[in-house]
Amino acid sequence: MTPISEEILQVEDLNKSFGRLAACRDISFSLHRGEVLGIVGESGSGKSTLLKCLAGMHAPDRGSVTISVSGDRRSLWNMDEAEREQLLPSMLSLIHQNPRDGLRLDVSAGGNISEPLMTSGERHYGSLRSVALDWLRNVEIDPGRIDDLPKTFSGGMQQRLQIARSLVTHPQLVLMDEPTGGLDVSVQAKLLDLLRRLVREFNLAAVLVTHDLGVARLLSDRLMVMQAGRVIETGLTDRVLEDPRQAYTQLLVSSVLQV
Amino acid sequence: MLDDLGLDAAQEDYSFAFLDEQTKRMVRRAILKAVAIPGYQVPFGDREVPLPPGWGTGGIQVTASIIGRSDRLKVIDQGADDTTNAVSIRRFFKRVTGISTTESTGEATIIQSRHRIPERLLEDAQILIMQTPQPEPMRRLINSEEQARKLHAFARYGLMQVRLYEDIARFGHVAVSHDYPVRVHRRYLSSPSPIPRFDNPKLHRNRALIIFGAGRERRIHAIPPFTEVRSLDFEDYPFEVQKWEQCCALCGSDNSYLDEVLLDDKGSIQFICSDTSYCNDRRVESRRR
Amino acid sequence: MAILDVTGIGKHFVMHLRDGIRIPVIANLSFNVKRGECVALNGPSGAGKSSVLKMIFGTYAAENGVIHVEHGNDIVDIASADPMTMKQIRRNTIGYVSQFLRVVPRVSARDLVAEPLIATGWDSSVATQRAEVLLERLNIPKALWSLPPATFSGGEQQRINIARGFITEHPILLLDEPSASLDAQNRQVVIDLIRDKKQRGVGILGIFHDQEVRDAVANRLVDVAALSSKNQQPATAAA
Repeated sequence: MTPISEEILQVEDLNKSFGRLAACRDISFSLHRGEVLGIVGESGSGKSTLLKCLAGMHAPDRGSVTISVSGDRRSLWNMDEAEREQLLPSMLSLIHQNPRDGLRLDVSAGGNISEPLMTSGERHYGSLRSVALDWLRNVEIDPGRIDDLPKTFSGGMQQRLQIARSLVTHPQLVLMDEPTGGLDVSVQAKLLDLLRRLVREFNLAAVLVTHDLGVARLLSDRLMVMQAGRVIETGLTDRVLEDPRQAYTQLLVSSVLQV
Repeated sequence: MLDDLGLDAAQEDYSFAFLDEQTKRMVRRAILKAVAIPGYQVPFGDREVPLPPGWGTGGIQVTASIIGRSDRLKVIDQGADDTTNAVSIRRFFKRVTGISTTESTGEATIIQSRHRIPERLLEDAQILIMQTPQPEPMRRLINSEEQARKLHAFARYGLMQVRLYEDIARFGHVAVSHDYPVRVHRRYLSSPSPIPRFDNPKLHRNRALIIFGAGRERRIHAIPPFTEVRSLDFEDYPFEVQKWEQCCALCGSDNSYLDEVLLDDKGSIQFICSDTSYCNDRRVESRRR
Repeated sequence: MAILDVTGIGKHFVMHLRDGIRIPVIANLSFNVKRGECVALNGPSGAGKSSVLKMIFGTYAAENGVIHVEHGNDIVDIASADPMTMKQIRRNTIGYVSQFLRVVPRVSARDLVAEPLIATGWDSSVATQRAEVLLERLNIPKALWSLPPATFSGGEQQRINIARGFITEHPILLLDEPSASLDAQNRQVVIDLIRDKKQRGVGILGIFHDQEVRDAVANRLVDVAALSSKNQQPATAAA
């Protein structure tokens, strides 16, 4: 029997307000290696704020985010900024909805993939090059385009490049913010397939924020439904989608177009 | 220019070295901090000096703050003592301090320079002051000052390395000929000011104190004596300096930085030392022999 | 000894979007499945047979009752299991062949079939080999193996789904009308596959619409409609 895998992320009683608006209220959950947690809810439900608290971008008002770094459990908001900045790249990476937010558009594809490695001290041009080539193949971009600027890439290619850049340092935790948003359906399919494969290949723990239940169903093991800053329902993905308990979840599920 | 100010060394009704004592103290404090944190850019309050910004106002304020009556000043621009900028700065200091000046690198106690480090090895008691237009090595890569400072604070310099990577990918070598970024004391990424990369190795463990003053940007950074200074590179693309096939047409030097000089309308050219003091010394030396 | 033991389970849906109307599906149903036997859920359409399978697989929550399953060396109650445990149970203990294949964009039939075996830790090349053996046995033309099944016919998709369910070594297998859209030849293949599983000690719980298949594989029938006393009206929510 395969033992239950290591806990990578633990969120306890997380609260975050902006002025009088409570964006995240009393949120607790944990995530294991190899597990994808989907967070669904409409705009303004607090899912993006939650993701930013996990990504080290917003400090929560209360509660803790604990991330395991090679077996060592570290509290993200309980260390100083310098230490957090230093540890963050090995802890997690964030895949933005808009690839422009996660890429340098005036730097070549190879440079974009290599930068996180250079930041962590890699100084061998040849090996950076070969890692970049491997990753281009891995995300199904023609390796011949290694020296092209992402500006010349299609939206789907840019997104795949961003994924390569995010995973090149082998973070344990990957946070995805609507990774397929704004893409054509056929391009989405390719990307979903890629994400699915990479999650398995690298045994990633991933948090996926999306409002697309189809995407959530395909990629996530578990779902968390958020409404007005709270988690109102959580469970295995098929359970939440096929036997929803809360009125809001039922509304969400019944609003999906069936193909 | 100076006549308009009505300055007269004999009258002493202005401060020594032009700047008032409070300003000099403020600049000295910035210099001390810069020496204490090698490579770190220390902000200072830029004062007006009788020279347009971008013509060495930062260097002038640093020089004015540390110069004393026993100093001997040398001012060079692109290696030469006799260019307009060098001459007028030298004259300015002569006038506002009354101290002696020199064109010989060996004789100077303070050398203010633009774009070159003298060929002759500097000594313990010397101070080299570099005029610096842009002290932030990542300025062209990041617009935000806040972000640049964070990258310095966290020593995350991957972005600078990316620039070198891009050059190698595009040209097969790093195509930065001037202002080649360095890492000072294994910590701060710094600009060496727009010296040719030929001069970068001279920064490493130099016996003299080197101070970089940027007037317009209001920053001072320093490389204390004997500090480790490494030019960024890749293991498989190590840092290299420019080389010439020619020797200096005047002194015959085969290891100095050469300027290409156009001789006539037919396009004949000659290579000569950029460092005039060095070239003169060598010629005097060989004549003596 | 029973490998799956269901005691007094009940299920209803509360439809919040329809003024909180309560739709009963299953009430007080008990049965068990032993190693190497095939139990068929019997009853009219709409009686909640599929719901029973989904409750055992954890897709539906059980409102009442206990669903004991032998999971490794433990006995686990699925009705109260947390999601992590349920994931483990699905990976190692309970296999499920649903009525319809959930296709994944761009994933080939071969990979889709091999996937559950790889998930349990098998080497991917061995899993792929086994997938091919099964696809061949289920008469899926070789030309289709490397294509994503989205465009396959209903019968082909169903056979991919069967292959996906049968490839693993799960000790319990839930089958929801596995032979629904199959021709006689493939129906026989499914019967043979079920018999193989039984011989290897797998406990099977299934819904077989087809009398011929049911007679061929089922050891016992469990009547769902008769056992769920409160299930008077055919519930619309019971899929």
